[in-house]
Parts: sequence; C-alpha cells; structure tokens
Amino acid sequence: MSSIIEVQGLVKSFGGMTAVNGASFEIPRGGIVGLIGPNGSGKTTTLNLLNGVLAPDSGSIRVDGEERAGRSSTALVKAGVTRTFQNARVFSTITAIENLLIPVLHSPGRHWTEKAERLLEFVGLSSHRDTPASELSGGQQKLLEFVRALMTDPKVVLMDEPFAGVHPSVKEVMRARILERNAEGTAFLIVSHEIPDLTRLCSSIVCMAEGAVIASGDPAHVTSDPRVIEAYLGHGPAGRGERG
Amino acid sequence: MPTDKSTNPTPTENIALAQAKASVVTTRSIPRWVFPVAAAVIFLVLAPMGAAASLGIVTTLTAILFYVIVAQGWNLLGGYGGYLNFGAAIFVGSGAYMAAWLNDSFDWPVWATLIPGGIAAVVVSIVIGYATLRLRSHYFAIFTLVLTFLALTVVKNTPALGGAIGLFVRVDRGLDSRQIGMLFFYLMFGLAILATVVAYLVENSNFGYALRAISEDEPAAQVLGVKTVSVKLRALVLGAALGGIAGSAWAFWTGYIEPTGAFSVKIALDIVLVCVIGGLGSWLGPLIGSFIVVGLEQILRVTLPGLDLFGFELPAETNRLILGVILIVFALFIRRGVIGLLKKRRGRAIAV
Repeated sequence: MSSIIEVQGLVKSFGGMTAVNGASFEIPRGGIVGLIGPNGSGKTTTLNLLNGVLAPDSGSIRVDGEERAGRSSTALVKAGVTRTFQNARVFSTITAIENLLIPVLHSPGRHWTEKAERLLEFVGLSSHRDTPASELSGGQQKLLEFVRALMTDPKVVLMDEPFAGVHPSVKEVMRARILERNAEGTAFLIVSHEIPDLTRLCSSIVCMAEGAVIASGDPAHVTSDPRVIEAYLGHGPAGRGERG
Repeated sequence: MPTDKSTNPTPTENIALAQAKASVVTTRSIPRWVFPVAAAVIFLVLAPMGAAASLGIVTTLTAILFYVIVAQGWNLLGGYGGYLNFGAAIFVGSGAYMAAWLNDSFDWPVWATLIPGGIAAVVVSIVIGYATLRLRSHYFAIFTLVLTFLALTVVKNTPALGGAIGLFVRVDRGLDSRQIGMLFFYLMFGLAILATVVAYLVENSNFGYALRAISEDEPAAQVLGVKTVSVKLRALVLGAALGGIAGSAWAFWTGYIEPTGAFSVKIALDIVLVCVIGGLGSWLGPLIGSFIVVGLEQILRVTLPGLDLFGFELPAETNRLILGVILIVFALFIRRGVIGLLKKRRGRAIAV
C-alpha cells in the first residue's frame, strides 16, 4: 500500500450545482501534496469530504486501505485524518494548552498535557501555554491550530490555506515544522493559493477546476501545464496566478 | 523531498516569537485563586445564618440556595455549552413530582427522595436530549420552552400525580416551623455547595473545555473529533440531576406542589436571568446571580406593591418588570454578567 488516501470518482452536488465532479487523486504515504485551483474549483469541498464534514454523493475515499466515504469527522479523526481551516478556528475563550486538549478529551490521561506542552514548544508557543487563544496573534493562532491537529498523531493532516494572511516569519516556522513532521512520517494535503510556497514544499500537486482534477504530479510539471494555466488565468504563466 | 530538521529556533523563528510575545494583550484581572476563596467565604458567612437569622431571612436564603443548585446545573449546557434553554423547570418539576409521589404513596422522607428525584430528572433529560440536542441555537431554546408546557399538560392530566390539584408533601410532623426552616436551609446549603463544586470541577476539566469549544464553534469541535451530541447530552443530564435533586427538596420545603407551580415558566426564566446576570459559563456566575436576582426580587416584592407613584398604586408584578429591564440592560451592555466585569478571560457573552 503506497497511498495513505486514495480518492476515486468523488462527486458532491449542492442542489443544481456540482462542486466536486468525479475527482480522483492519491496522497502518498508520508507525502506532501498540494491542492490548487481557482476559486470555486471545489478544493474546500474536497477537504470537507475527506474529513467527514460532508458526505459525498458518490465515489470512494480510502484511508489506509479502508473505505471511509461518508463517515463522520469523529470516525475520520480515529482513522488518522485531521485538518486545519482557512481562517484559524481556535477556541478563543480557553487557553492555548486547553485548545490542544480538545481533540483528546475522549481519552483522558495526564500524558496528554505533557504532549500538548511538547507541541507548543515545537512551534515556539510554550510561553503562551496559559494564554487565552483570543490573545494570540493571527499567526500564532495558525500555529496553534496546526499543532492541535497533531495531537492525535494523525497519518495525514489536511491544511486549508496555512500560509494565507500570516507574517513571512511565521510562514517560515509553519513551513519548517510541516517538513519536520513530514520527515517523521505524517502526510499532508495542503490547499493553497501560494503556489511558489507549495512548489517548494510539496512532492506533488493536484490541480482542480470546476470540481474535477485537471492535472496532477510533479509541481513544476503541473504549474506549467497549459490546462492549469488556462484554468487559473485564462492566459499567462501559472506563477502569476495567485489571485486569492 | 526537502526536509528541515532544525530544532533550535532560526533567526526568522526568533523574530516570529518576539513578535508573538509583543502581540499578547496583557489583561489586568483578579488572580484565579481569589474566586474559590470568595465562594468559600460566601458559604462560611451563610453557614451560621440557618440557625441565627430570623425565619424570614432563612426562607429567603433557602430560596437563593435552591436557585444556586438549579442554576449551576443549567449553566453546564446553557452557559458553558452555549445552549440557551427554557427547560430548567421540567427537571425541577420531574424531581419534585417524583419526591411528592414517593412521599404520598409510600411515605418516603425527604432524604430518601433526593436520589430518585434526580434519577427522574435524568430519565426525562435523556429523552429530551435525544429529541432536541441536534437542534441548534434558537430552535433548541424554543423547543425546550414548548416541552415545559407539554410536561405541564401531561402532569395536569395524570390522576396518579394529583392532576390539576397536585400533591401534598409531608415533612416530619414533630418539627416546628423554625426547625423546618433550618432543616431545609441546611439541606439546600449542602446541595448548593455540592452543585458549586461540581460546576468548578467541570469548568476545569476536559469536559468543560469541550463544552466551551461547542459553545464557540461546534462544527470545528466536531471536526476535531469531539462527540458533540454526547458531550451536550452529558451536560444536560448532569444539570438535570442537580435540578431534579433540588426539585425533590423544594417539594418538601413548600409542602405542596401542583403542575403550574412545579413546571413554572417563571422558574425557567429566573434560572436564565440568574445565569445571565451572574455570568454565563462561569461556576461563580450562578452563585452571584442567585443572590442578586432572588434577593432583589424578594426585596422588590416586599417594598414595591402598594407604593404610590404619581397617584397610581404600583401593581404586584412591578418587581418582574424591573427584573425584565435589568435583563435587557445586562443583555445589551453587560453581556458577560457580573463575573465578566471581574474576570476578563472566562465567561461567555450572551448573544443578542
């Protein structure tokens, strides 16, 4: 088994609008895959299907060889799939460390606190252990959300725009820590409009347009694919296609 | 695949960390240890009053303590979980009716009925929870209000529970009114401490964090693997147990229960009022709110009726009118309640 996630013929419609239309791709075990596409191409819906927020109309999602399409988020977390959001969704009224304990509250144990402290240290937030999340900067909230997704030792982390709207220095921390976790075996699927960042980070890129996968493979190959360029801009090189 | 295995912060990370530290807003708030100490002082001051104070004051304090118990229970789901509901009276009524029925049918004393009263409320809460906890926000609140009227109608039409006439509940006959006042003061006092300790433990547990996560962003909590319906149900059940136990004691204290009083919308609204004014999602909120709301209500009830205002005699319901205005003021301007004025980071704002 070489893939941690295999997606086949995924379809999801909302009323008369088909958001995901037969998407198929794979996330290799221990890989970092970028998911790109113009606005409205179905990226976030795909992420929502992969972690159980939405159930697909048809198609298959295999996680570690097991069919998981339509299963609940809770079941997918158990199967090893966690995620972050485009706008960091930390719980503002509780502290940084309490945020990290949320994903593991159904399996009590003192060791979780130690693990949470290690993860805060991992992203340089140790000094904010007991700071309410509302008092963290936007970049820190992104980092907090990232390590919260690591609390359950996931096999794959789905990240929605991890680099959007953060300071370049925080972006560097995020990038370094993703690579570090990846070196330990965690796979990532990263949705981003920051194509230069993705090409530096990812082993492969999947490009969606109008709900379907139009290109996938090596980052340089995908970003120079004429279909990708056309989908993104209608003209010109893909590298200029970062329009948010 | 590119890798970056550095463990020590790089210069850019140091910049990020420095910016991060600088961005933290320092809030001046009272140290956390002050609040448990304040609660302990409140209970220590109250302790001798059951024996020393006049019967009128003991009765008022007993009512306040009753509200502390029920409000602490309500606050678990309503305050921490953000599920505003008007169903508190259902659990109080269930406990009260279970106690009254056991007393009426088998002559059980108050002590023996507390647990069965709690269990009755728990059973009712499980049924209600499964039916309603997939609803969100206002739908849930409205549904619980409807269920309060439904419970009232069912009990009113159940002859075994006394129908519309209700049931008398007999306390030990050997006690005089002063002794009965003391008995129920200390019973409510003990239960109020228990409820407050339960709320404190919940606030500082994973369960409490989960409830606050649900209150703030339920879909995100679900995505993180939180079994939100299960967590909400547990909060409802635990709160109902406290409400049911309080209801059992209340039935004996009042000596007589009937459907309109036991499943009273007034109780349901007062509990919301207590928590909003004291502070939603804080274990100290219901304690403070009960003293303010019930104390104020008693004072207004005694002083206002009959007062002459520009030639008009104030009606008996004026106290409710004033409490309504206070609720509006808190909902608009003091949304985190009294506790929110003292503590910046805890507590949840009421949504208006």
